[in-house]
Amino acid sequence: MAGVAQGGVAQGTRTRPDLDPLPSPEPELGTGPEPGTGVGSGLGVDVERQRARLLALHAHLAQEREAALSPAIERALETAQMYLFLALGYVGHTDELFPDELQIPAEIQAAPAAFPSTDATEATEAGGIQS
Amino acid sequence: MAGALGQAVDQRFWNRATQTADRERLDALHLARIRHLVGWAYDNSPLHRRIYDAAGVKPADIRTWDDYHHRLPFTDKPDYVRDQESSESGFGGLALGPEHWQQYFHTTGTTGRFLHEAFSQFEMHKAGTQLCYGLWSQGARPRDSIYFCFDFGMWVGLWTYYWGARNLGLTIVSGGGATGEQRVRHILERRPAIVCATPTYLLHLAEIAEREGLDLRRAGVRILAGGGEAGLSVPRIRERLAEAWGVERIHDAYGIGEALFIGQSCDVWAGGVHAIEDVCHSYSADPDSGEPVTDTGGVGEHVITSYTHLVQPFIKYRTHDLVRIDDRPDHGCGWTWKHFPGVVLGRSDFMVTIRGVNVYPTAVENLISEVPGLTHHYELHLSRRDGMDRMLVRAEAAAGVGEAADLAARLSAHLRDHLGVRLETEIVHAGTLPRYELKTRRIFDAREPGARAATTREGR
Repeated sequence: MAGVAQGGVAQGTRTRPDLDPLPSPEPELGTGPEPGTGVGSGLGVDVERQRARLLALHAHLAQEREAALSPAIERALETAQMYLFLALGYVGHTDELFPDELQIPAEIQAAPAAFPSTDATEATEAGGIQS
Repeated sequence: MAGALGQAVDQRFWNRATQTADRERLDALHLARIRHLVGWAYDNSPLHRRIYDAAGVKPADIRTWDDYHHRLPFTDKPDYVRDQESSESGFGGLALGPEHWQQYFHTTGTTGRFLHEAFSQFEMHKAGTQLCYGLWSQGARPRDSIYFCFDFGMWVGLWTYYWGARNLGLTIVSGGGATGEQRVRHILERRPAIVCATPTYLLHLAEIAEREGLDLRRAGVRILAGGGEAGLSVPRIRERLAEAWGVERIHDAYGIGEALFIGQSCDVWAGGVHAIEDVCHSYSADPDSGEPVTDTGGVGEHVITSYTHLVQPFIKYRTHDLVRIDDRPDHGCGWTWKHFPGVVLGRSDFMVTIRGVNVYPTAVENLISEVPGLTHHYELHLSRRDGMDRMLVRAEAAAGVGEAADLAARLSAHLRDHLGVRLETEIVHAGTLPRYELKTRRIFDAREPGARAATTREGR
């Protein structure tokens, strides 16, 4: 599933944990790194905010991918993550080189899903879809 | 136009945030990516680990630009070719195995040594973004249509144009499997906004249209786009194309097979292309000393690090293209990305010495286009006699041009005036030289293998 590539080659970890963050260029007011997003891009507050939102979206996609009900859904979400990672590149994200390097932040993994539950019993209990 | 959250969206740029960022911020992003990439390659590519170990360098040693320029070793095509030849997979420099590949290709291999290239699905998506910066700047927008004058094969360059068109949201019209005449008729019927081909082939289609009595200017094409050859950066070729096709926009793309189309022209034609700095780092180095070229306007060898190709990382990779880099372009387009006036000025590994004068074939190619009465079709024939290199320039006269002898003399004089040496010249009739759909073969080297350069511009 997410984070571990087919064929047994693990890709879900940062390759160089021994590298210190680089000193960023002189930051503008409000352009510092968002919590949990590594070093800021230094490209401006709007860009940095979009980067943070994209990272959160990526984490939600990864979480949803873990809960995929079929290979079709899992593959669709994997493809969505690839496109989303292009957007991260546009906003100067440098913490990862490609989507499989991204991990789901612990706080998002631990938090209750922000999206409707994938648990069918909950849907039934709430008067939702009956099978 | 404003985004959903109210921010202004600047429609002039495909990605304003980085395309207009100041040099210092761009360099900081580059250094962060390069450091990460060096670590990735060291951990995953046996070739890179060997190269770095042999140089006594560990990824953690690369912390500054000085480290990158002076401690990290260069990589070069022969490194990958040797690795490819000794590898069971048949691919060189691999950091990710076949289970990650979605498609593979090879370079054009005119010299007989193909470099095999493999791409993951993400890399193909990312490669598809590289063309968007330039095409967007030229005015291409989603739902515009693009006509491809190619049969799709193993050469990766065309595929990346196709991926770029998909990524931008263009409507794709394939001219695969059609003759030149059929393609002219398709273009007149389908009226695409953009036509994509090599400059030689675009000129060839214009010749066909003229021969058939068809006016390509009535097709309504707005943009000609291509690459793979020097023509789209040569002013006279651009003029000829603009006149024959009736277009105002000509989009030039510069690429190398290993890192794809990493240079794009902007809407303000300034005689060259910008590095696409979201996908690679570019600088130039003295081909002999390896020292970075720091003087403005200085010519050096183009050295790149690709952020797109991760299955086979290309880090501080010598392209052998001679370029002039303007780090802070200011020609009015608004892009802050480095600019390459004249695009490729020559090849550091392919120089011929004619009677003591160093001659780059690329320089000869550019000069040929400046002689009135010639078409864009020509060949350079290299030979060695009595230990001396010789170059015969065989060029094609335009239809209706007078005496070949006069034209040959004019060409010879023009070359002598600019190169400082007289080359042999021969003029052939219009339509004599072969037309190629993909990269045109122009250089024919009959010298013994030991007397040739290892690679040529056309053997990429």
